Amino acid sequence: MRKKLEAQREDLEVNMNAFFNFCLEGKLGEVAVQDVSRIWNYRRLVFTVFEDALSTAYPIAKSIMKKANWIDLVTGFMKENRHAEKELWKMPVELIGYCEEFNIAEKTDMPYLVDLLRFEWAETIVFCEKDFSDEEAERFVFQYKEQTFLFGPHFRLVDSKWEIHTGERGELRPTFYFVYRNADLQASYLLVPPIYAYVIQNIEILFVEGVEEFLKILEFSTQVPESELRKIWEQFFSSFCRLGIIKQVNRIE
Amino acid sequence: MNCPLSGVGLGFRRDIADLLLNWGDENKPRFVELAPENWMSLGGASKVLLEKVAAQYPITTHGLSLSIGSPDEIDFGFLAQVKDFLDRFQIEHYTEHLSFSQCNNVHLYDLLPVAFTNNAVEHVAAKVARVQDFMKRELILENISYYTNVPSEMSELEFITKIAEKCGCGLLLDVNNVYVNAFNHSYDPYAFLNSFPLDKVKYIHMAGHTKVSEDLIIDTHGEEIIQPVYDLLKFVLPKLSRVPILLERDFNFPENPEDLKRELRQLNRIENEVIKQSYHA
Repeated sequence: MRKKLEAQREDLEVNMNAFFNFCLEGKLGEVAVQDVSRIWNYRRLVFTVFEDALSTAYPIAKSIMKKANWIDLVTGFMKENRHAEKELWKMPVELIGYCEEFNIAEKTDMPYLVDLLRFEWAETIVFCEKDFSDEEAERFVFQYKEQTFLFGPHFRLVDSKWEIHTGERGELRPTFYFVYRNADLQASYLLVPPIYAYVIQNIEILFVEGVEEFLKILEFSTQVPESELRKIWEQFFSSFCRLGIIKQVNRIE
Repeated sequence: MNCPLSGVGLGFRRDIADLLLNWGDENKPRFVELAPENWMSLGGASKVLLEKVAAQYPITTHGLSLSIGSPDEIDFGFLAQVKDFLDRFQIEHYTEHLSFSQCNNVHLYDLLPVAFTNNAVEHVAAKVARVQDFMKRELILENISYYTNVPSEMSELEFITKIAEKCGCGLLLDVNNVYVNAFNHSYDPYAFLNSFPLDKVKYIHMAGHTKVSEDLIIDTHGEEIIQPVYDLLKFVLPKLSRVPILLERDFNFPENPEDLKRELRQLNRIENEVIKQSYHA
């Protein structure tokens, strides 16, 4: 029985692979259909699905890129990438790796492209990602001044060599974007100074060790004097509280 | 589980979320349908929106990624997520497409027709059994629209009939797809429906389509339902036990919500006429 099923599977695979690959690659090859002209409709439909999902995820990149380059990017991505994400809304994340692997930044004369895609994807993911359970959110809790605070918890830090958020061609200027889910559950971002970025990059130490130990470790790694670091921390803390990124909690909400 | 759905429902898309949430009482959809893949792993505003809709409407789902006809193994990790979602919203059936959208673990995000072969019937039957066993609910498969003939040993109708017999699954009859396929492949949709395994039909889809050339229609869900598709529904509905009917609209939503409401009213009218006729009979 198992062998029979295996043989059936192989037979199906031969028939289906060619059709499937045609939709992604646009090469007829071994496709066994009676009416070749009509099979191109599948290619068009699949292209529309990909183009639509990528446009939704990367509106800035699309708006800056030349139209022909955008079409080439979508078709190249369809052909070359192994589309492993089952859920369509997650599929665009794979474009970032594809652009890196195939050096699309150079081909499109958009050296900032990968950073821009990472920034735009961070906005998508903080907006979309599953809410954390109370247990998961516990990992983002810290004590300070005898009170309990929750940091985030839906955020990403994008470390970009380029300033890329303006909707215009990127400027070569190291920029740190803190992308987070705001109180209205929308994606927002802040341009943060490098020292804030460093704090955020190491924020897990805060959750594990507490504020005092965290500042000691930062002092050791940055060589910034402790008094100076304490001022920076206070500014960071109060501005992130003001924006609702750090919230006082009695319990995890 | 919730009571089985009945009446006329509407596909839930973000574009019409406000409309659904502020519908009022008149001719309100009896339920809404959504693709579990598009919602089950979302949090934040999307989750809030879904919960608001779920508070007002019974929910049913129509999956896109099962790829039951695919040579690939069943992805039980994915199925577990879908099952959680169905359990959470107390959804009675798992509806999907008789198609494939995955090969060698690569995803296409669109539905391709399965070859109408005996091998495919055997293969799909084996997978359906495992899916139903895992999901602890009946799988209901939709007849999809297709635009090109694939390697076949039998007709589409024979294929669907064999699948229904062999698999022990239910069928979702997409009336628009019958119309689209009949037009594209030159067969009589009424004869098709007469021979369709109607006793297996648990659910009906109605939608609009787009004629892209003299001899080709694409099942877009982006236009109003046309009269010949309503006529097919009128023809088939009296032959079925009472099943829910869904109006599918995925994009190109009418500017005036009244247009969408009119389509729903028309579907309700057809359903009511059939109920009345069967009562008098």
